[in-house]
Amino acid sequence: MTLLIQYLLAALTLHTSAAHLHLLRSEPSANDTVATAPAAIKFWFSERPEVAVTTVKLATASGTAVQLAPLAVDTGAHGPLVAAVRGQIAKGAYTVTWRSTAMDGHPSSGSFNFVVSH
Amino acid sequence: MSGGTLVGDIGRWLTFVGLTTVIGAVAFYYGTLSRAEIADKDALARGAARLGKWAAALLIVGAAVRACDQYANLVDPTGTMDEKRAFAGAMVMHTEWGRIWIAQVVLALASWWSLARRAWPVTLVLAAGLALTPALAGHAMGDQSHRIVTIAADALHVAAASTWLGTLFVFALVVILPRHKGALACVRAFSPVALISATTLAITGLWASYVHVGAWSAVLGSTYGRTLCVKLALVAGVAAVGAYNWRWATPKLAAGDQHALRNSARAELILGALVLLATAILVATPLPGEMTGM
Repeated sequence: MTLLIQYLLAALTLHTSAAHLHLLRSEPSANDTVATAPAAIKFWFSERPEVAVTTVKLATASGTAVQLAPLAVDTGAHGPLVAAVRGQIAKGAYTVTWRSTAMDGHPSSGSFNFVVSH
Repeated sequence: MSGGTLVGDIGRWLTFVGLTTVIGAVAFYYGTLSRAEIADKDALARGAARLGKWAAALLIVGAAVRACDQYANLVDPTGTMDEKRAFAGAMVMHTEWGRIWIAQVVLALASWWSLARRAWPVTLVLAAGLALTPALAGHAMGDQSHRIVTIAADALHVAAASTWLGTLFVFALVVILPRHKGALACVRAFSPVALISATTLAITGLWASYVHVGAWSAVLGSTYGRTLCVKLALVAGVAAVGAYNWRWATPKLAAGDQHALRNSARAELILGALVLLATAILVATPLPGEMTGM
């Protein structure tokens, strides 16, 4: 019976099951405290992000923006999206905000914090 | 209402109504009108082409609304005008979404042109292309294991759904409501088309259940599940009206009474539009259990 209901649901909603892009993990990870300042922020998404319309911002606790290099995707099938940090970032708390979309066009966004301890 | 914005929902709804009706106009011409035994087929063909033209225009309006919504959702509001302009170009020219968006707009424009000239074979090819576009911009592209089969199944599903709902739209607006005397012949010619469409929907849906539906237990406790239930109720409503037509309205029509069929045609128009609205909301709603960020 469950299979029948499942089938009926799917039969009527074939192209409604588009999954939205979401962040699987990052480096530094959310709420992480790292000893040394990262040279880049790396993102692993559930699907390949559309780099052309992806934005990443890095800001200090006071809201000052940190300069990032143009986004790039590491080689490999599941290579991360990389936002290299321009220059050296100081000790303190940082917020990363991102906005992107997968091939299906559904916009996704998120943010996370990390701390540089030294 | 959904995982998207209200503007996005409206844009997708306009797109679905337009796409469904363009395909429906072609399906009506080849699937119903060509097989119906009526005298003045040309007048109905003109009516279907005229409606198809309006639908193609509606599709373009829907595409424009979707583009504005996509831009508003993704652009960095703090960017400069030059950055925003470059972003808009990149969104359309350098993303998969943008490429499919362009294809849809070009196909809609070409459909408008071919329907204006009543070049039905050309419109048939264009309609097939239009049926493919939702699959190329959707989750079927993300199915690494059976991508080609899933895209084909998705396109067939859209084509079958459009043949069913789109023909109903054309049928209601071109034949039933204007009280055309060939209504009974058209109803009889449409029945096998509806049956083939339903079978195709079932087969492609079976494939979709294999590919897309995972943990179904979470569906009913989510926004997605509730919206889906609304859509299923609306689809059941369209099916119920179809059953009413078959059992009661068609015999009355055969006896010379068009009243019952006109009322059910109005009901089908409203329910069909609502089914497409529910679909427009569903396609932007995250599946149960999906994360939206960190």
